[in-house]
Amino acid sequence: MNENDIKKIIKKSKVKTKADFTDNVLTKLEAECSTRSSIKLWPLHQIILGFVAFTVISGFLFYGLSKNYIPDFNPIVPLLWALMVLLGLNYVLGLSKQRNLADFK
Amino acid sequence: MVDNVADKDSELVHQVQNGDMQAFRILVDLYKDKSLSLAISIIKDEHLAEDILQDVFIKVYKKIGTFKFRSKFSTWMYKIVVNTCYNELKRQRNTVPIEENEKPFDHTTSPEGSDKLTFEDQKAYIQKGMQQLKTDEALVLRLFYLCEMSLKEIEAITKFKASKIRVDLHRGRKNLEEQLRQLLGDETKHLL
Repeated sequence: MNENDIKKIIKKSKVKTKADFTDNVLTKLEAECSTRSSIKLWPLHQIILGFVAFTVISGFLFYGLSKNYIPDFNPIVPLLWALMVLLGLNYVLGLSKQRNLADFK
Repeated sequence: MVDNVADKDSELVHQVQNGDMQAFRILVDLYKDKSLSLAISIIKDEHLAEDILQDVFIKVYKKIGTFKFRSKFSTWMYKIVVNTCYNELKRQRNTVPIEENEKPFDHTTSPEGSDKLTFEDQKAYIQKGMQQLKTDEALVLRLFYLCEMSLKEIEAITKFKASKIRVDLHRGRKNLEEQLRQLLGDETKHLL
């Protein structure tokens, strides 16, 4: 068999989907989009901004209050607090990246 | 011709990226049959392949925003089809022992005469012949002849080496011919 014959034969091996295939895909897609939109989180840049703002404000508050009420207050404590909050952010970003990768696979 | 198809695809992709569902419907209609043929090369079960393909199109819709037009849309699309099917195959092998694809031939269904071989019969025999091929061979043959992908594009889609693709193409052609001869005997010439 020559190249053209094989081509003709393989073209005939094309399998057709069911008639309602496209409608099923679009229905499934609409259903998924509506479920997703109901549990939609903030966009990533807003989450990052939120975390940074929370870190700075809570760090200052923590520092101000602790300095007034705790006699032997160590200023390293609010820094550790800020570090913990930023580690939390890192964790959230990691989760988001993993979810995106899993979606793509 | 190929460029026209690529241009049309790019236009449709732009429209889908701008939220046009009608354009997405056209894309699905354009690619569903060839994609199903590819999926069947890997999955072998038509119903399961069709279910997987539905998920593939949903994945394509969700990720179409990340498509940067660095390759043809068809290459990107078939890559998702192939990856998803191989992942599903891997998942199935880890959970349920599935039947090997080399099933014995059913010679009782051989045609009695060439005049009885309708277009639908021809298709059925060819599909049967394709099913007997090894997964990689059937996939490469369909990508090359049915989807008209170049060797480079097949390399990008399957991540096979160029040498393996050439070998699979050669063996696939030879084995398909042999399978059809076993199924149809001298009637093979009436397939053309």
